[in-house]
Amino acid sequence: MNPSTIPIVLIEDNEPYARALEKFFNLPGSAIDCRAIYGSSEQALVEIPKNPPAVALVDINLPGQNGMECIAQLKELYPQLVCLVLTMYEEDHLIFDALRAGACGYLLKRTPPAEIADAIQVARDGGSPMSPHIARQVVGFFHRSPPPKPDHSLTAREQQVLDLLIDGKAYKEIAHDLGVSIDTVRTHVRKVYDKLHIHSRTEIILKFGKKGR
Amino acid sequence: MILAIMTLAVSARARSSVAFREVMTTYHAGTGEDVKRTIDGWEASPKGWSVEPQFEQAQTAIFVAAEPIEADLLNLTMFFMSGRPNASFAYFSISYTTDAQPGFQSEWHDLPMFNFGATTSNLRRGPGNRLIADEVSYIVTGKIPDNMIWISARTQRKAITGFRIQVYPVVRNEGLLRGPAMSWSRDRDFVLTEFRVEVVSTTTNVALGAPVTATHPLYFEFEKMTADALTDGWPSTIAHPSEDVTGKGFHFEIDLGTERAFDHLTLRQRGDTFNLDRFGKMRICIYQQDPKEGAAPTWQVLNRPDGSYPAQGEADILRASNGEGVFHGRYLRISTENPVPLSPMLAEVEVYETRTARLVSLKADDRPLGVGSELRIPPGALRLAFQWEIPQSGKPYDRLYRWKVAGVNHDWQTSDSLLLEIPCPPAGEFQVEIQAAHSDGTWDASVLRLPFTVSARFTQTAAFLWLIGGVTLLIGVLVSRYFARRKIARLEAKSALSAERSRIARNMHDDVGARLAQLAVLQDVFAREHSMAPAAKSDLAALTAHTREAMVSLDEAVWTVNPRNDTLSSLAAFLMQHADHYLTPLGIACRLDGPNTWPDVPLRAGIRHEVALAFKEALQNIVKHSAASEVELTLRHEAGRFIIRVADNGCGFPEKTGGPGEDGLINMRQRLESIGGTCAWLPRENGGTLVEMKLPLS
Repeated sequence: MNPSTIPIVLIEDNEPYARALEKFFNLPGSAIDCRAIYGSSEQALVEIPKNPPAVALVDINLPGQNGMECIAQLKELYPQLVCLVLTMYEEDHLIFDALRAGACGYLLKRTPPAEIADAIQVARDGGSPMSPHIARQVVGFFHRSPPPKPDHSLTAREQQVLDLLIDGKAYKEIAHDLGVSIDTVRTHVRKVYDKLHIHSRTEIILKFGKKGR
Repeated sequence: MILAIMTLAVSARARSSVAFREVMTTYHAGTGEDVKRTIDGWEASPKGWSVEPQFEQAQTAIFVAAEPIEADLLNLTMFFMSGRPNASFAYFSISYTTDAQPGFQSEWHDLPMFNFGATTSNLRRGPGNRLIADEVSYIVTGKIPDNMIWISARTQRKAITGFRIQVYPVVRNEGLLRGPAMSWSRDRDFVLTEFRVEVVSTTTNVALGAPVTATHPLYFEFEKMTADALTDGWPSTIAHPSEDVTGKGFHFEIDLGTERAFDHLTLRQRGDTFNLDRFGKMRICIYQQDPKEGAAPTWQVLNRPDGSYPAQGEADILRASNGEGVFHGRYLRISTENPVPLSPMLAEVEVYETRTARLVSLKADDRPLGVGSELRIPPGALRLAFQWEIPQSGKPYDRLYRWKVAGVNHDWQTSDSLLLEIPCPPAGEFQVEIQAAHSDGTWDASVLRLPFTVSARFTQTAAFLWLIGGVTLLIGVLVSRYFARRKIARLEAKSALSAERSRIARNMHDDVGARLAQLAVLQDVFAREHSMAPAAKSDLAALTAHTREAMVSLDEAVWTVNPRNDTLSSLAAFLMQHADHYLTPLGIACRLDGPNTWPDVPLRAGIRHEVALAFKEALQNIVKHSAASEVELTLRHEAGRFIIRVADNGCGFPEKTGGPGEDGLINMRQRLESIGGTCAWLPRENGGTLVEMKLPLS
């Protein structure tokens, strides 16, 4: 394998889809090296410590523990591991919960695989995509439940970035509006995610942890 | 008898006629056009080259070839088919030149005649390479004795540019016809109607005509033997040292002029039965550098160390593995360790250099394909045309190579054309193998092996089967949607409705949705794994897009039936998401304005569905008709009503009646009215349009 390829795993119980995606990722010249497919959250939590990948694509709807809890636990074990949700569902509350659990982005299964590969690279490189309606929910979340510590609340700049995202502006436009670089915008978004994760990880484990057992 | 056999043997060979550019004569009767009939390709004609009344002195005709002729065996035919009896040469000679511009002053050489004959006269050799036809005085057969003279000549691959025919006068002895004549016909003239030269073969023996030297004098009986008998192409001439030479220290040396990679070496025994035992224990050495300057041999062998020898006229063929060293070089030395006097003795030494075919071009049904590292045949090709090249010198007379396609042909097939056309095998991996022929009937030791892949037709691939499966699934989805709705209608009043809808939604998503996702990914995998014609590629891309659209439709269907979405906030989220997903990829900026939280208002699936459809229609109208670059979506919950405002910056709505998109507007209004709401559209100051939908929430 090319050393610059990104090692990933799929945590996905629908094997035909997972195998198809694996086949795509492992085509010659691919930047992605799909190392394994785990059919359940439990299997992933046993196997991943043996050989941790850079990125995990996690389905939400898994047998046993669901994807949200899986992500929360993985992030607990490997804060560096980049988790992306790969789901059939475009249901806001699920996606938002996954983000709160520690995912730094979500993808729909109908996304063309080449775009999934791009998104994996962006996420590995520290990018955090945030769409307007996710931004809206993030803001709503911070309004509803004030963070336990003051430094976990949103800064004025972060709030500004979120507001512009809600207006449907692209990162580039936001960078222009605020007179900063696009990387600074990305950093703000990443920090918002981090705060969201810290804020809600325990809650997620409590909320979903009960369900799967 | 012998002549007849030779004629048959010659005519069985594939030959190519030499084209002539020009004919020059010292004299001709008739016009210049008449003379040109000798090179017009037609054997019979009433006129040609004739010389009446110049019968007193020799006459000459020169035939200038269009291209230099390089061959080792040529066939020359002179046709005298004018219908005038016996009007053919009585006494003549043929010579050739290699001068760039053949003319009367060129340097002419005697044509080395291998064999000759005529159909209605008896030919014999005269002095100085001339041929004489016996005198005929009357017709005995009752047929018109049109003559045809043919000569087969060995020209040792010299670049011949022209032929010269010299016709000499004869003197008739018969009664009234007594006197000088150019033919044995009654009117003393000949009419040459066609002069044809055909290349019978070009040897691949690179030693033919190469200079040969001997260290010591050669045998002398009636005439001294010459060393170049070994490379003159005549098996009937032999060479060996004289009695004074005792084997040791004697050798023949052949200089090939340039370094060659050897395929095989042929040592030919003399054609009669005398002293064949002088052939045994011959040592052959090959040198890359001049051995006269002390170079060591690069390859050598002691042939027949037991003193045995081949039968008369037979030959020993030596290949690289018969000796030791690298079978490559420019000089050959032949010495002997044979105690038999007058050794070594040979009729001929032939050297065949390695010949390997090369692929020049490849076409599938007349479409040229790349001949780079990997040969890929596009799907659906019917015929393949391989154009080969054999860059080495020489051209065997009847077959150039043999070939087979591993996996298709069991046996080798021979071909005399460098263009090999074969039916395209079915999809799969193949290898074409090709082995060049030598003019001595052997096959070169090297085999060119070219693997090639025939791509599968789209309809033969796994992805296609998946597509078929996918279409079936889609139909299944549509049917299940239909039944799901009917089922919902039936369960409307029952408390089981919610659970049932949930279950259907989940199942559809998990089963059908994942299958469709898999299908779409496999289509992408297929597109990358196989090279396809552009049309197939775009068809596949369209199918993939349709598959993804089916997933979107499925999402929406699931969203509609899932009771979890029976809330105002879910509807609002759906509308915003849909606007974003639909407009952004089309390059239309989408600004969203709505509250972060919504009151907990329940909303029936039927209502959500109608609102969603009307909303989608509003967006479609913008995309199709407005040419807008920006859309503002405002969602509000005011005074017990849900308000949707879709504002664009496009070119405005059509007139009240007619115009594009009117049906869409009517549909939107009807949908909203069916659930107790309203739909209005208003022009904006910037020329765009505002669509406002209001839905009472009870």
